[in-house]
Parts: sequence; C-alpha cells; structure tokens
Amino acid sequence: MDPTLLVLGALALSGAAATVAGCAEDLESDVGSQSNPNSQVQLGPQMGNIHRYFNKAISGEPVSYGLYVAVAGAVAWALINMGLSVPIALVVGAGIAAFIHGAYAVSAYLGRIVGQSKNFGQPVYMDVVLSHLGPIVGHGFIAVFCMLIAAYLATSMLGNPFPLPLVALIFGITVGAIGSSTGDVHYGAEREYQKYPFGGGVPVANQGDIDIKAETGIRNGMDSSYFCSKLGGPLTGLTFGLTVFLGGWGDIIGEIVGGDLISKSVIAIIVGIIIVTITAYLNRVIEVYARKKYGPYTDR
Amino acid sequence: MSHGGGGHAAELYPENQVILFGAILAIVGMYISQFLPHVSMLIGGLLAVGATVAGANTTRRVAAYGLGTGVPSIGMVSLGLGVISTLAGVLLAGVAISQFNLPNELLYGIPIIVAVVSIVLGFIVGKLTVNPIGMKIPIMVESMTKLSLMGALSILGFCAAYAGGFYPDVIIGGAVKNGIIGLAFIAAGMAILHPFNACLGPNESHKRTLLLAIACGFITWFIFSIVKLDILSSVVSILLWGIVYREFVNQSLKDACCVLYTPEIPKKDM
Repeated sequence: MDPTLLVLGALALSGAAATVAGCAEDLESDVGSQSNPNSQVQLGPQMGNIHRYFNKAISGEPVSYGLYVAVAGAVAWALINMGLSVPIALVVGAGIAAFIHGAYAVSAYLGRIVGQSKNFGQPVYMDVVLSHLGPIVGHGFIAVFCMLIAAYLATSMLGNPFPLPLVALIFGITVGAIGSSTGDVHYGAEREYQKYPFGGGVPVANQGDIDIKAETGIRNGMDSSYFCSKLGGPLTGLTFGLTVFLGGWGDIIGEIVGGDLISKSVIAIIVGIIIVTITAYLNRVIEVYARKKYGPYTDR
Repeated sequence: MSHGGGGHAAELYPENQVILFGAILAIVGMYISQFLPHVSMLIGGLLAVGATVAGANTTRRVAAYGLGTGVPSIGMVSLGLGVISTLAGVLLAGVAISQFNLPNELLYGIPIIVAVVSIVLGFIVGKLTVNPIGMKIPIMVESMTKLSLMGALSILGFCAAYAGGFYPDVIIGGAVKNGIIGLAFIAAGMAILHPFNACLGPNESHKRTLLLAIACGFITWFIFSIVKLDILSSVVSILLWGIVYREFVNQSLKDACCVLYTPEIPKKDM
C-alpha cells in the first residue's frame, strides 16, 4: 500500500485516540477534583463546608499524566523489546500505570483530608475512597491507553525520532495540560459554585464556600463527573483531538509536497501558521458573537 | 521554628540527618550498581530510594512556608536541576579523561562529581530565586541546593540501577538514549513532590509524610524493576511498598478526627 495513505491513516487514528484520551482524562480529573478545582475543595472545610468530594491532590494534571503515560510507555517498550505482541504490551503498560495511579490517588485523598481533619472536623469517608477509586482508575486507564496508542503510532508510523518512553512522557504532559486548561473551566468555577449566579466568577469572599449538596443527597465527585460528561469532557476531547490532528497536517503536507528536509520543514511551518491563523480568527468570531448575544454580567 | 503558611508539627528527625543518610545510601547504591551489575536493580534501586525520601523531606521543609500550589513546581525544579547535573557530571568525567589525559580511575568518582555539580547548580539557582526573583523564604538557597543534590542522586541512582553502572558509555547507552532518564525524571520527581503535596495542611505530621515518602520511593523502585523486567526486584519492591503503604493508611485513619463509611455530614459543634 502507498506509504502516504498509511501515514494518513495513522494520523487519523492517533487523532481519534487523542479525542477519547482527552475526554476520559477530563472526566477522571473531575471525579477526583484534581488540578484547579482542587484548591477550592481544599478550602471547603476551612470555611465550614464539610464535603464528600474526592481530594485527589497528586500534583498538577500535566505532571501526574506525564508519570502515568511514561510508566505505561516504558513498560510497553520493555515488553515489546522482549518480543511480546504490541497490543498486549500496550494493555499491560496501561494496566501498570493504572495501578500506580490508584496508589497515588488514595494516598493523596488520605493525606489531604487527614492533614486538616482535626482542626476543621472533616471526616475521612472510606465509602468515597472505595466508590470513587473505580471510576478514577478506569477513566485513567482509558486515557493512558489511548495516549499510549498515539505515542506508539508517533514513533512507529509517523517518524518521531525519539524513543517510546520519552514520547509517552511528552504526550502524557500534553494530555494533562489540555485536560487541565480546557476541562477545568467546565467544572471549577461553575459546578462548585452553582448556588451563586451564573457567570459571576469566584470573588475572594466566596472562596471555599463550595456546594456540598447535590440534586439529591450530598454531592460527591461522581456527580461532578456526570455533570461534566455532557459538555466539559467531550469538549476537552475535541480540543485535544483537533490539536493532534491539525498539528500533524503540517508534517504530512510537507512530506507530500516537499523535496529536501529544509523545504519540507518550511512547508510544515507555513501550514502550521495558516492553521493557527484560521483557528485564532474563528476564536475571535465566537467570542464577539457570545459577547453580543449574552452581554456583560449584570447583578440584577 | 515559625512557618509562614504551613504551621505544621515538629520534625521527627533533623533535616540534615535525613539528607546525609539519604545521600550516603544513594551513593553507595550507585557503586553497588556499578560493581555488582547483576544485583543493580535489587540493591541499587533500593538504596536510590534514600535520595527520593530525603528530597521529599526537604520539600516538606521548604514548602511549609506556604508554597501551596508551588509544591509540585519545586519538585520539578529539583529534578530538572538533577537531570542537568547528572548529564553534566557523567560527560564531564569522560571529557576530562579524553581531553586532559587524566587517569581512567576518575570514572570511579562520577557519583561524587555529579553530587558536586548539582550542589553548585542548586546554589546558583537558589541565589537567583532570592535576588532577581525576590522570594522571601529564608532557607531558599539552602533548600534549593539540597533539592538539586537529591534530584541528581535519585536520577543517577535509578538510571545506574537500570543500566547496571554509572560509566558514561553504560549510562548514555543504557538509560539516556532509550529515554529511561525521562521516566527517572518524572517518577522520581513524583516521589519527591507527592508526599508533602498530599499531606500538607494544619494537621500534617512528619511521621505520615515520611511514611508516604518511603512508600512513594518504593513504588518508584517498583516501576523501574518492572521496566527492567526484573522479577525478583519487582516482587520485593511491591511487598515493601505494600507494608509501608498499609502503615501510612493505618496511621492516617488513626490521626483522622473520625472515619465514616456512610454518606452523612457530622453536626457542627459551633
């Protein structure tokens, strides 16, 4: 088969894998309230709000996902070198990463909750630990496995010159960064502060005054994930999938058109600039449209 | 000692004692990895845990000044300095031998050279954080120096354990070109930054943080054992991790104000 077609297929597959990974990553971080919303969950008990959120303060999402995907990538790389078939090696690698993820998640919850338990009367909810661990590790496994597929395709099909463990580390940091920057917008300020008027942001006076009641009963991390699975998760997936997919087009067009390495690189850079210009223009159009339609926030 | 934002309990062991202990363990581990390559992961990996535990302990001390979200950042800085010093130290020894006709025995001193480079680098970066950047933490220079040293020792420790030695040709071929140093960067970094990042708060205790630091060190060792496909080390490391982690969980449950198994919010006393 024509190698260009194979490369196009690999690019499409890694874009699709990145979409799934971004979505799963965001929903996973919402179950555990990782990253930006975490500081508000941490402040909750200090403001008298005893909560049942999962306080997953492993580290920022880029660092923690860098770890999981690097672990998965290194294990898979070792197993492939040993002669194991690629799909099984990728699954085993992602499985080891899921175990590491679970271990760090539980210690983060226990550490953070017990760290302010006696002063502020925040109990340790063992049922929260046990019920949330499954969704956290499960979503994490999906995200890590999909990123690992993308990293493997990058090294084996798309001509990335670096070894798999290193590419996996970089891809993990990327998915964590996108999940943190795109996904948290849909969870942090709005979901934790639903009792305040929409669009008002979080003034300092309200910090830590998080919602502890759900639609029925007491709110926990799974309610947040359910809420975010409507818009936040898919949007994160779309963002990350588009980043990977559009980012790859520069190289592909350079590969098809260009002759030597310099002209290939120049074409790739020009295509990249064109894509960035178009997306920046579209962003501006959407922003202006939203401002005209909804106007500034008014405290009626 | 007064702490800006953390205000945590007293230290179980003095920091310098932990640093000294961790550094000696890690350096001994590197020599064992070099001279007994068949047990490099089993013993070298185990002793490299000393460096991550000491690094986590220093992170606790400096981050207790109220860094909050800066805890992961300072851990990453530590490992960033560590990667640079490790590569610089390993290559410096090789260059010194080939360019200045120094004796080959200089290669035995690579762990010491790496340690010296990392101390110098950490001291410079610590000075920079105080002077142009203007951080007001009194122990900043000292802590950056220690963190840089521990970052370098943990990276070289785990890389030497993986590659089976710290000679330039062994470590460049066996742990740098295949990207394992990237895994050492992030996994050892997590072992250094996670314990205090997880345990911080007004009721933080040194015992819990240290237990978690040891558990995180063991799980990092486990990761490297798995990647090296070393079955004996994997089993030993996961068993040791299980023992320490269990102790951490029990201690946490003991220190909590109450442990509940049902969805209920306790009544406020106020």
